[in-house]
Amino acid sequence: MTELSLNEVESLAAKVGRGSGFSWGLAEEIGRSARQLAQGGFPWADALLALAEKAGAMQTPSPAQTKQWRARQSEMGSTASLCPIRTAVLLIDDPAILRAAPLHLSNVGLPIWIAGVLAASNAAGGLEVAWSTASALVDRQGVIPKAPGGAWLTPAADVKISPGTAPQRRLRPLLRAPVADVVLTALASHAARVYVPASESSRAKGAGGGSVDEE
Amino acid sequence: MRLDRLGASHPTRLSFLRTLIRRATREGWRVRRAEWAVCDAGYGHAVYSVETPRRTYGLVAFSTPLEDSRRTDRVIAEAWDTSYVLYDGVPDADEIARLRQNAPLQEAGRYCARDLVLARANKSVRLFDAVVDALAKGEQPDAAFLASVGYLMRTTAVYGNGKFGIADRDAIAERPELSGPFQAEMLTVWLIRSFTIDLVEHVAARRAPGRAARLSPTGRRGLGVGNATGLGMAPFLVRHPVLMHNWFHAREAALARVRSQPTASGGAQAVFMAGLAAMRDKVRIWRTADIRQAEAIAALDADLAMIERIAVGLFRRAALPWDALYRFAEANFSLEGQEATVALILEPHGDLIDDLAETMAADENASFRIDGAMSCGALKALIARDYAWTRRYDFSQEQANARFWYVSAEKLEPRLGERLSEPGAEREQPLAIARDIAALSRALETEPAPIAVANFLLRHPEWRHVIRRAQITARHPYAEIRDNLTDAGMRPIDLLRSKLAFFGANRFDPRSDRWLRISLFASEPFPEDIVAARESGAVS
Repeated sequence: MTELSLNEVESLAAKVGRGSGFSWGLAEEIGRSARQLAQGGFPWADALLALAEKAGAMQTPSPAQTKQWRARQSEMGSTASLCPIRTAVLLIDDPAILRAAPLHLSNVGLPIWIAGVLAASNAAGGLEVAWSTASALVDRQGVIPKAPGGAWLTPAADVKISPGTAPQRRLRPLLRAPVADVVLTALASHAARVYVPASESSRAKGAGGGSVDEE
Repeated sequence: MRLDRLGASHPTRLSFLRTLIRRATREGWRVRRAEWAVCDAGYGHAVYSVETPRRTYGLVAFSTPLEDSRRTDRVIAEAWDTSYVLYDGVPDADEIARLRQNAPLQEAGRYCARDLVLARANKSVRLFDAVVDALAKGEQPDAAFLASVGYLMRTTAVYGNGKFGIADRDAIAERPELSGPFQAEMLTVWLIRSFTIDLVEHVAARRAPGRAARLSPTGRRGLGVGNATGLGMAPFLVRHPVLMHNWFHAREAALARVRSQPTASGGAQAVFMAGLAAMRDKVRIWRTADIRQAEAIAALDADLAMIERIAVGLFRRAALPWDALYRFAEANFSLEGQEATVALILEPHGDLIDDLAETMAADENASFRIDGAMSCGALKALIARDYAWTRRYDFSQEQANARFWYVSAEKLEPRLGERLSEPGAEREQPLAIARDIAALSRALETEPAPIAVANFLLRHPEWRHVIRRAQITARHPYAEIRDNLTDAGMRPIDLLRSKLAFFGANRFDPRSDRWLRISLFASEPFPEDIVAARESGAVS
């Protein structure tokens, strides 16, 4: 087990996001969301690994779906899970959709990320993000479990977002993020996709700095 | 906000090490050498404790033998003469043992939330040995030699904010003594300076017990801590646009306040002239092998001589004397001279501007969220207003897109590659701001003006980071370096110098276009001096 700082969590998660094919801007959201999940005591690392592994198989919300959400119309279920990152950033980018809460989203992959992204956006004045086996409360202070023991790593679920108030008195956000070494290794391999391997010329030029002490 | 001007930056009284020293003096911080376990040859560890009104911190310093062949300033180094941790509290024996297992390994070690800053430094071997030799003979080292190098050790990295497991900035951001930018890092370097002096005197004393001299007050005061800085620092300014805005905004606000003063008091004139004399002294000992910098120093010397000739007359005659001096510099001086003039005219005005140091930190979370309700037409208008400067570049030309920033797999550090001749451009970091803004502008051309940014981003997530940036810049006019960071002629050291000047660095010595050496804290007081300064009321 390795204990990471929150900055390491954010930095690692952003690289994993980018390495998994998300755009730079979405990767930034993933980084900040992972930090929020880690502070709230959620299994951020397992959730991040699952996101990296499934990123390519999840779909973007369609214009038709967003129209339905805005109009509070019931949504037709789709065969492929919705990408939770692409879905959640739409919710924070387009406040009209969240204003329509309660909002029902069908077949969202890894729904824990909906809570993470909403928390990281600092936009949610008080929301409950719930699916059949877990529920999280999101506000400007972060994200916390509504009750212990939720199935946070549910691969896909129908999600309900509704107004919800987190208790004022609650545990302080965690400042460190433990992660199993085997998970950390797997995450590092996804993150490594943003790195450029050394070449002869890059080694020669390096980042600067003298090779000898001449003073 | 052009690179050539940033590359002529000078430290000012708003620089972070000056802010630290002012607070330490004002609050009467007590620094003492709490532990000294160093052998005759100079190896072992020491602990310095810093008592602030609210908390105590400890610098743990380790000195270890190092073969000359392994001593390098490059980030690829695996061993160093000395290593350091700024600790939250005063460490007990178990904690020192833990740090001894890790700090000398630097990036290869792991750290915990009590560890606030991690750093290492190598000896300037020639000077360190020469000082030991002289002191052991009961003599002072040659003053010219001492001045020509300016430090006994130079740091090659100072890490904060969660790196390798150390405490996040969040953990200290609410502490007044460390809330300003890089205050924990500056405190670390300040204490390292004391350790380097103590170490050289210790080795000399052990070599010649009872006969060795101590460094003279003048010799001590002139020594700072060197620093070798390469590309690793360069992307920071680009990645933190709100923080950068706050730094430059504070500086510009300070300058505006001073320029609007209707008179120059006798006291202010005296401080100005003393600062000018001190800067001329620094310029005389500012050495570099870099031809471009050497020419800039020569031009600066001439500019400072000109100030000396005209200042008193301007102070007497001009309606807004500080503004007149600034305008004269703008019209007649080199960039180096203009930036030095800014530093000089800010110097006498602590009462007027020092409060601005409290505005230089940033809550970057507050600006992170994208305004998706903004229309694409409004976004286009923002870009046209704030990024007109990007039209200077033609990114279809190789010259404008010649380089790419990337992270090296070997050291996980930023690097700069040549797009046409080196592999890896497909893994480019998002630092080509001018090019990406230009490309976003083209993408928006076909987008109907009323369409909301949220809808555009749903279809084009690849522009998310660029739009976030444009919206940040709309509210933070100093957020952007207005130059092309992928141009073939771009000099990364210009970025480095700007950031280092905000730290308070002096004696910029470019060693190539991508790394330089500098000095921190030279001529500044030592922690023990601030007690005397406070008692005499001389807080600057």
